[in-house]
Amino acid sequence: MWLVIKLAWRNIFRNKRRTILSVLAIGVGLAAMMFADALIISLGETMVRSATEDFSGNAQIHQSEFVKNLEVEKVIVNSDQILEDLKNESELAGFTPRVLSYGMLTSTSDANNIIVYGIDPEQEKGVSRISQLMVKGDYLTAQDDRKILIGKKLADNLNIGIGDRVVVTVAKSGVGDLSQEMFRVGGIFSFGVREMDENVAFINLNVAQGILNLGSQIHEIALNFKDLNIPAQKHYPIATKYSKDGNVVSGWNKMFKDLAAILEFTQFSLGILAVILFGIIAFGIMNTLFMSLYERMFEFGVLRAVGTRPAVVARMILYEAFMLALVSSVAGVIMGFVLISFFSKYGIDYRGIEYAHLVFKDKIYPHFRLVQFILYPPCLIAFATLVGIYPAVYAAKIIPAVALRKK
Amino acid sequence: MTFANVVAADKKTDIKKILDGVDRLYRSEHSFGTLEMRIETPDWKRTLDINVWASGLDKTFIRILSPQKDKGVATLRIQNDMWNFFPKIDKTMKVPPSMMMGSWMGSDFTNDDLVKESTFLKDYDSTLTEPKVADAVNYYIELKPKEKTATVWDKIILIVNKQTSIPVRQEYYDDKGVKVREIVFKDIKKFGNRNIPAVMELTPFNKSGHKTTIEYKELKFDSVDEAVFSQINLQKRI
Amino acid sequence: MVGGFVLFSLALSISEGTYGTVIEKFTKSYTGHLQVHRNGYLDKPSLYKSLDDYATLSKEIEKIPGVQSWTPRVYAGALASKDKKTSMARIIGIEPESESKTTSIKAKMREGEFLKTTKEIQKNVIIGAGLAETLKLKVGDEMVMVGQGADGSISNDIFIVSGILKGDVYSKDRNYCYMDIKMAQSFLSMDTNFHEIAIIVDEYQNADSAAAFLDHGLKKAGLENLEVLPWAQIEKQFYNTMIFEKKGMRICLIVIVIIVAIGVLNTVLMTILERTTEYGVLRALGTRPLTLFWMILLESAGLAIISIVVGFIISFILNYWVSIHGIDYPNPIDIGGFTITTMYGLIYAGAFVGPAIVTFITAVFVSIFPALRAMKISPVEAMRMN
Repeated sequence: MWLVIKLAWRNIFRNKRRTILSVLAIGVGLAAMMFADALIISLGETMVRSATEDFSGNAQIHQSEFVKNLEVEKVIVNSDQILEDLKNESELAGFTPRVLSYGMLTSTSDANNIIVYGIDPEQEKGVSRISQLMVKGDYLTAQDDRKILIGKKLADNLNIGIGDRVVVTVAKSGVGDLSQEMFRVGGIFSFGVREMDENVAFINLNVAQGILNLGSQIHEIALNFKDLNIPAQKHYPIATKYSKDGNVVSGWNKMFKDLAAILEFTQFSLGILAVILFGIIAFGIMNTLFMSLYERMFEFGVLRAVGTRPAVVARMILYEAFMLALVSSVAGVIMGFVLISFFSKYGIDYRGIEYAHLVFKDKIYPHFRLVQFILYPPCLIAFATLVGIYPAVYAAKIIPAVALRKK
Repeated sequence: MTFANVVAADKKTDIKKILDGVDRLYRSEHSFGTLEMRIETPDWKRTLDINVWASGLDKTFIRILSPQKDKGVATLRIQNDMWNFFPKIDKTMKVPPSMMMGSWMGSDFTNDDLVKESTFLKDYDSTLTEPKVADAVNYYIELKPKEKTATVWDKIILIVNKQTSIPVRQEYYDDKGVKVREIVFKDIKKFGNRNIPAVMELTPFNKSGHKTTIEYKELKFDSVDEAVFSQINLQKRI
Repeated sequence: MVGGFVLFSLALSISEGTYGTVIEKFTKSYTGHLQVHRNGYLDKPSLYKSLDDYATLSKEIEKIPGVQSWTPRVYAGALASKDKKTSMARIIGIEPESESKTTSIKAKMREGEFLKTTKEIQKNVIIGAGLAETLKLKVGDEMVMVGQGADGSISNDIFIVSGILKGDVYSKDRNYCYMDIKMAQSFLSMDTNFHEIAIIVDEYQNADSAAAFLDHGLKKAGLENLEVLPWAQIEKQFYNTMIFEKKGMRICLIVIVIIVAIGVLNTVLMTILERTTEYGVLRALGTRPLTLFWMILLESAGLAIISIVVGFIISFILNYWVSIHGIDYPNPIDIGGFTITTMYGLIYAGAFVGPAIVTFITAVFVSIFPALRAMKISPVEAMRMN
């Protein structure tokens, strides 16, 4: 047995050049698979981050009826307790309370329907990037009770700039009375997304609660997770824990359906690609094995003639396939590692490209995933060995007399 | 403590009186009016005949008499709530609060102009100013919104006839000091025992081709039946 | 070599076909391949930026080579209400018959019946899932809508919900309200004016040229201030998404090219090196080095051509099969309200030309080095090697 393995090991290195080329081809294939995986995963993650971490958060808590029509009365049940409890959730990277309401923003020149958000300027920084997306003026501070932040397009539509007066009209909770308040434009932001830049305004949380007559009640808690994949799962601790008393936690896959669908679609494409790559690798392995098989026809003839059983010959070829795959995998893992490390350091520049209704603002940094190392190489080795069955069976069937006559 | 001061104080009360007069010009305790509203936009022109009932500052009832297409459409406002009634489909619809600042029936007046409760006297600081071109006939009163007043205007210049205290013009300015809209009052007529400009012409300067004119045909300051301001009356078909 | 060719070709076919499927589905779901609007409508829509002369427009559209169908639409915002609840609605007036031929709105319905083109104007509407949810509307219910007509009048009418769209409160079309275009025009007092024509041509790839053609035609017909845009410009985000996906896929394809090239290299190298002795003999017999060089190159080229021919036959059959039967997704994928269940291949010249070029060039290119060596080989040495 050991002898056969040793023989197989020697055999694959008999023709060094060929073996090195084969190893290279298979290794590149494996490295490519690993890289593609790293790229797609981080692409997905970047997309989800771009979509959710500009504003919405990876997940949100609402009263379950609220999202239908943003009725001011549909506030989160027990919000104080929830906000307190969330502080102890280790899975979270950040959370922030908000109130929001349909309203009208009026300037001297026009009026626009908007959604006005009351935000906590400090806590908001832990979830969204409004503070980094200001193009004019300044972000809110907790003391600004007359300052409002509006989108670039809204500013254009209403023909207003920093310091200008605007009036916000909303309906108070409970009574439905109109509430009007004058603000001055403190800052103008640009998300690069039309809905945000045209229809949204931000004011301080307590001011918004005041004009909406909400006391300390809130409508929304935006959550960011340390691991993005968690809120896309069907069941996870935070969702289970806080989806009660009429509240509901919705993950990004629910809030951004198209995005979730595109990610799924990409995953599937990756799968197909993997199949094709493996196919190409399989041909490479078979090619190499057959070539060395033909070269050594005479040897096999001798082996068979001296009484080696066909099964042993077959096993030897299988071992050769296995060794080849093993060496290739090692080469592939090294190449993959180098490739991913390089790009994870320097990134791939996709900035400025809009993807699924959002714009990339960062480079993409592919990163390692355990699966790349523990799934793909063994798969490749198993697959290669499987492919080796064909030449192995072929070798086993060699008739000594015919093979010996060939040379 | 002198004479100058006395004059200033006198002027102040004077302004207050004028402002109060302007505030109450069309809105007495009770009023009933018939008016014609002409709306011009670059895309269409139309004339509405309207009846308006008002009680104080917080109740208004409006019914459209013509054109035929909109006949019977009625608006009821009680404080901050507003309903529209559409006879064609026999339905009442509450105007969502966020739409209250939208334009009323396509005119350059906003729903808010119709329902607003702010008054010059209460919500603005006033000073007497001198116009660029000397004007012996009229007072020029500059109105600056008070801290808490929810308005988009940086200032309003109210031009009032010195003799009659009847407004001639209101000019609305934005933060950049640009005149954004103007209301011109003309055609003074006697309604009941008051002299009132029968025509109000609103021109927004930032929207070219837009203009809304209101012309009062009739205006009475008798008592109005409170039943006018009810859902039942709103849904009455004419 | 054949294997590499076939799989490379398949990868190209599938990647192109997938985008083809998605783009085709997407454009046919609503947007169409190109659209005509009044200048500036898309940037800042307004009830008044409308088109009027449908007959003349149709005449010009008909001239587009490969045009298949087109349909007019009207858009407006309105307030919809039932009982005490009120919600914003987006009215979309469509011409049921031509719309069904052009796009697949019909397929997006969850329940109820699609609109019909009838002589009498029907007050039926098909509403988004969000609107149905908010106003608690069921099929057969009455719904009141109030909006502003183009003449400044207050439009108001009662409609009957005849269908509800798929989706939920997060869907893009949650507050859409489809109705017969004639109904929408009369509701909004806009005569026979409309805002948009969506056009479908034979292939989505021809949208750009069709748009240029129509633009030219309309200008010649004296219709001014119109904007003809292909889907890629109307649905910029979607287009970019696709471009982006393609870029990602391209990286993967490059990897495949490399692997295929290495495979070819291996094969060619083997066949040449195996016969070093032969070359030695040839040299010994007095064959000139240059002749030897060309011989080797030609041999590789011949090998490549055979591979290409065989590969072409096999991959054509394979691609054809995939383009007809497709590969089913494990779960149907829902993008922007349309569902993709199967991934199809696409048969196009590039799927064969690409692999052919790669195979041929690498084969010839990699044989240059051994061929050069063979030129310099000394016959004695070469023969001794065995």
